[in-house]
Amino acid sequence: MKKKIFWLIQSNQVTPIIVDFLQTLQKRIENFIDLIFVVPESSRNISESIKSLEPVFFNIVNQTATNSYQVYLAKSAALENRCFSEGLSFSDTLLLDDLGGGNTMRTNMDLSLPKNLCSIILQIPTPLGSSAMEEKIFQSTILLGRQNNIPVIGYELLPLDSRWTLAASLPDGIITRQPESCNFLKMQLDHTNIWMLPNYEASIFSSTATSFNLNGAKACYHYRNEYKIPTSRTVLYIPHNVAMLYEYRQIIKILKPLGSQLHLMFSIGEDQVRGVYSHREMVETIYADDLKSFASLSFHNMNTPWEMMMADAVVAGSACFNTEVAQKEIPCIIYDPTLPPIERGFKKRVAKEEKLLKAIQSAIKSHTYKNEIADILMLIAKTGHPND
Amino acid sequence: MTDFWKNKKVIAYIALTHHTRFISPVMEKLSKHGAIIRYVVGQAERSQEITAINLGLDYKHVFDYVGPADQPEIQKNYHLLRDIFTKTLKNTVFFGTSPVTVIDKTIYATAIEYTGFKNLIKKEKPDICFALHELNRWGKIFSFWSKKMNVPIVTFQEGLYFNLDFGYTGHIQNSTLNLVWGDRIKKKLTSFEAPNDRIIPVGNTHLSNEIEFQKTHNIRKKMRTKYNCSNGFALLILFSGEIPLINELFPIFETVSKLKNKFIFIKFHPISKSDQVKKWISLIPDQYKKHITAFHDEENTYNLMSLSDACILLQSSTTGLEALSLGKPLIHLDVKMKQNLDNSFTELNVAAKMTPAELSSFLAEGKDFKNLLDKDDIKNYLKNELSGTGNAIEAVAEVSKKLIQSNQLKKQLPIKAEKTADKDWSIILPLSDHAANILKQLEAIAVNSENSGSFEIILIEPANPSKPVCVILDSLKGNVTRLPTEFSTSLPEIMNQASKLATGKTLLFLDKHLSPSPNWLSLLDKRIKKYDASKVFGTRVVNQRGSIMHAGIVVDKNHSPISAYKHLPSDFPAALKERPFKLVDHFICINRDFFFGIGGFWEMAGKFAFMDLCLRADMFNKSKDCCIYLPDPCMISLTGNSENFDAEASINFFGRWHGELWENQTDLYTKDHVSKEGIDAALMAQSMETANFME
Repeated sequence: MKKKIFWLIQSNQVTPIIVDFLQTLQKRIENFIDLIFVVPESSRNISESIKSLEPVFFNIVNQTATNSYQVYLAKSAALENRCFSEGLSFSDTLLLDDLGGGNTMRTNMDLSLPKNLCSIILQIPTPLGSSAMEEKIFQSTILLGRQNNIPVIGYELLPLDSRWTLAASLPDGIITRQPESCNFLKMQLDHTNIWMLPNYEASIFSSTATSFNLNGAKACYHYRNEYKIPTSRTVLYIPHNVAMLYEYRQIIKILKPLGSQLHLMFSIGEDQVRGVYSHREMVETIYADDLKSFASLSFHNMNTPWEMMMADAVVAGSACFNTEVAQKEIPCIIYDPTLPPIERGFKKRVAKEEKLLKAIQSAIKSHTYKNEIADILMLIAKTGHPND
Repeated sequence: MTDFWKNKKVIAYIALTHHTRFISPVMEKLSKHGAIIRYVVGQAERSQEITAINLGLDYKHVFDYVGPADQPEIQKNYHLLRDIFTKTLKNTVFFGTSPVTVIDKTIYATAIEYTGFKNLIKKEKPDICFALHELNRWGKIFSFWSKKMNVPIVTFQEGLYFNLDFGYTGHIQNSTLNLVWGDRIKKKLTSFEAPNDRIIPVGNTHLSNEIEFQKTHNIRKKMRTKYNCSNGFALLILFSGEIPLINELFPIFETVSKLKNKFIFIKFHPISKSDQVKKWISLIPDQYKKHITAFHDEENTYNLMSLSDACILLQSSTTGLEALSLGKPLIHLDVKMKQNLDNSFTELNVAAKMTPAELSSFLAEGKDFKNLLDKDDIKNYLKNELSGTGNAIEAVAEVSKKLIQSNQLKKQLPIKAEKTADKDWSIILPLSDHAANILKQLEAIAVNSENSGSFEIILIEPANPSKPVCVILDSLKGNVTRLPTEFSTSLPEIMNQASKLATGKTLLFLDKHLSPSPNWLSLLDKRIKKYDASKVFGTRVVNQRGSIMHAGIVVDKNHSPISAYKHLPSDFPAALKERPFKLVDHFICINRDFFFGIGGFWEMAGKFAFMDLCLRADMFNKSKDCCIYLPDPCMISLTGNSENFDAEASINFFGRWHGELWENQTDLYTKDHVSKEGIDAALMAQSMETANFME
């Protein structure tokens, strides 16, 4: 029997790109996992925009207790007499005012949990961007998961590398979009299940994602499959140009020591034919010996730049159209010994070989933390606790 | 007063405008006398900075006192807080009213404020601090650090406290004293868990000024001219946070629109959101608008009260008390509200309850609102709610001055011995004016003190002894010294005088109504020999029902001294352990030379004289817990619980020992392996056991 995973969606958590992506994801893993989208009635307003996901709506019921001494005592007990080091108790400090004294509200989710349900995925709310209702359902889902022994996995939509880490500390696992979030949360939380998405998936979970990102993700799934690129291998995009044959040869030579861990994506222009040689042939001929040191390579039409999204980094001999496009999403390392080094956002220009090597080593290291979302779901399905 | 406050540093924590009105009049007064006032605000989405800015106060933000070097401590505290909330939120629903991220922002700000308030007090070194109360995190942390650094902190009363009692738990915890408006609130707070000795009714610091201001500035006349209602009848409707459905008020609007010279003024609560207020006002039908004027924050509530001829409330609110204080008839309008709070005003017959239809008829018939209620009921109500008349600010300033004086008191000078110690014991007994008890006490001393060495008795007579007491005293013979009391002399002062007359090597000070048990001196002799002369000994005290009155003094959760295991059976195992305590009370056994060395009793300590002595003994010895509790001999208290409130003594004692008194009751329970539940069960059993005993 196939394992099931709930993906909880609420208002303001989806864009048309995300919906399209989730549909693709559902399709990709359908042979192994039933990915079911669940939506609270409080988010009914998005039903039209997510109907392609065939969501299951569920009711929520709020129960309240007001001015209850029992609630007050229960809250106090829940804080376990914990104190600041000098003896001021958290309960005395916060309970009556900030934490509502004897008032409480319970949000019950009328959501039946199918057999073989092995996880619930949901967005982690953030202090500067979430609504109260979203958060109530977030906490109720955490409780529901714990009560039924189902791991709840939170994902990053709004940045999680802020001073506030309580919400991120609640799920059993966290899927991050950005290395800074991943590293920060690893440092802040005593948590083993923190994953980071590759660029092509991470960029989808953003309110500014466009079809460029979505096409990029889809192309990546295709090429990773076609070229049998293992998940452990780091991918570099080389925006090659026949005008810089020598310079790119230098770059390839510099990267050779790391070649066994690298897949190179060469961009080629159909019009960059010189004599009898096509662009691809020139690359294959001139760099033949050096390319033997690399684990794998592929060629991509320079007019489909979204395919760059598969790369962990772009490595160029000069700033160009590709670096201009890529630097919004992907680290771009420009190796040019003739120009002074600069660093701005994702764009980094280096003039020394060791700097280039170091930058690529960093990309390789960063890649080791990255997991495709489907792989994470498969891992959860394998190791998570089904509801039976 | 003027010289005292000159250059004294005062820090006041302020939050919202309608709260600050209770603190700022006091600060203005102290400032006029030369005190340096520093206002501080905390981090809140309902901005506290705006309060200070609107009031034109020079203020600092508590975050101003936090620097990069504090980050490790802040992070450590944030993680401590976050970890317990992670655990709690994962497993319980109790905190469901607050969204997760709101809790997160709160605990992060709390971690910063915790360090900020500490740094603030460390840096500014104030002589005294003020906060409205310590029920919110800012007041709590501020008062905690004030206490830690032994700076007296005074808190006040926020409103009429309509909530259930538990909602005020910890109202007087770290604050030195809580100055409330009147006796009712003191009773409400102490009947639940607040320490009786630390709540002093002084009146309302805001109202006393406001009433005077309204009168002297002729505000009623000015306001009525301003709003063209000089010859009319003005009804002021005061909304609380919740705004009623507008159509509920239509019957009143309709009636007023048809009557000549009748006007309605509506005042929205500052807490209401401005968009809601605007929407509500826009829904007033055109035909009524001419007679209705509505305000949110544009007009002062008290000015409007002055203008009005009657005030209307929909829910319980402090404005009811204020309206009554300004002499306005009060009406509770009975309309449908989400939060139907108890209406204490109608229950106490100080407000008339009317439906909108009833009020409309009343207006249409031109009846007089002044005759709606009994004036005596209102007078009694105000007396119970507000202590004193018109000088609350002065009272607060005076209490604060005494607090600082006690807090900054220097070491007491030793007493010079006037007589040679040629006896073993001096029994110093202050007498009540209760003849029967005096007889019992003297008989017990005579019978129970034989064969235990030489002793003398020094009796401190009551100030104006009754005839039966005089007869008893005149009949006494033997080694008895009588020391008369003058009204102006405090008991500690007379006990010091008695000590100077004493010729015993060991002094025994007894509370009034305390009677010794058989062989008490020989038991004492045997026990105290084990210790050096620099100890203060206390003993078990039980009442005539066999319940413990004293088994050593512990400090409770509110940092107030109470007897350990009080009201439990006299043989409760934990009360039978001889051991050190921070404090003992009711009976003191002390070496005469040591007593003189410490300087005797502090004459301003009043009923806390014994406990004050214990704390000074620790200071003198530069050690902790130099008091020893002895389960034997057991003393008998001839009265029940006679804890009289003595405001002066409280101000002096708690002012002096503010930084010293910290909760230690839990430690005692842990050491004795007793739980709160176990104590409660034993208390219940003992009260059932002794319920029918007569004293």
